[in-house]
Amino acid sequence: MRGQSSTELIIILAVFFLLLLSVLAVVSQRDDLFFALQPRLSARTVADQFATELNSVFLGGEGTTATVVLPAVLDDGSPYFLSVEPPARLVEIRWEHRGGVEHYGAPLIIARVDGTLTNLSGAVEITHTGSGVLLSEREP
Amino acid sequence: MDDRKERNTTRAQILSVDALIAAIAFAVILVLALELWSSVTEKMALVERRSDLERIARDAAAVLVETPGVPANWSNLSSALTTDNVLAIGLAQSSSVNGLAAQHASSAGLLSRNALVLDARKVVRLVQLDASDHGTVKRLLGIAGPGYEFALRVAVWDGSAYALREQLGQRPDASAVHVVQRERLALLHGNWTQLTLQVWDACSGVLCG
Repeated sequence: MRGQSSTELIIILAVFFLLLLSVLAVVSQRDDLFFALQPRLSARTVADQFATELNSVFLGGEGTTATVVLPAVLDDGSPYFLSVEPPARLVEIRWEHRGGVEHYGAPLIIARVDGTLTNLSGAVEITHTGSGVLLSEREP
Repeated sequence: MDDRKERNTTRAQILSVDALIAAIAFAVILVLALELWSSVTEKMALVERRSDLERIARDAAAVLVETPGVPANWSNLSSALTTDNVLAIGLAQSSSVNGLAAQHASSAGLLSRNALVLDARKVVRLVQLDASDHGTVKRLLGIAGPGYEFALRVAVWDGSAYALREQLGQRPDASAVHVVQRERLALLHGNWTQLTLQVWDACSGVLCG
């Protein structure tokens, strides 16, 4: 009877262990996806909003001005680097994630963008100058 | 003897198949919940993509109809058109709303000439450019994204219906997951003209399921 109990115990523990391992594997996979998704969505939002404002200022015509206040960090606390790449017609955002650098580009409809183009932060004023768009950082 | 038998029976019940079934049921429910979460995440990604396409379509339609482009005389350039010599593309005549806005009014609603007037030469040049270099037109319109494509139709009112005058780009095919359409009205040779821009994405990865 004692031998039967211990065999049953071993089998059941083994099955529990396998179940636990498979559940942990699935949870770990989802966890990775979630933690990669959060900063990516936040970065996309920052770049898309900035590109939308820049495009709107260009469409607004000469004299149109808008100010975008950029967040200090992404929603998950990651620092980021925002730049405008006129030749590529992109607002590019880069952020670190688990030791690597990820990036995303939001499309622009204008390639003539002057002023502060790299490492944008804080309050950024976007002005249509007539010939293109000018970016300048200013106190919020 | 009877007592020991009872104790053994009780111990066996604790580690019975019931507990195993319960554990399996728990694991199945947990995995199903995680799969549901995964499905919600995929749905979110689809919504994100659609909203991306809508933003791109809105900006591209607006830049075509509302601006003359940079430089404003890009259609007269004798050299081949590239993303280097055309900084922004637009089909409006140089003197239409966007050009007048800064000089005469702060809002398009205050203008006496509030219809957007297209330059026929620009329309033709854009069609030619698309035929020779579709990728450049996509970049000029800001249509940048994985598998993103566009189609543009220019139709002129003939008194009873809009008759197709020009079309360029690639029309959505069977692989299209989302198709976003923007229609804008303007004047071409004094006739009402409808520009229909379709921006769409071809399926890729999990979207092809």
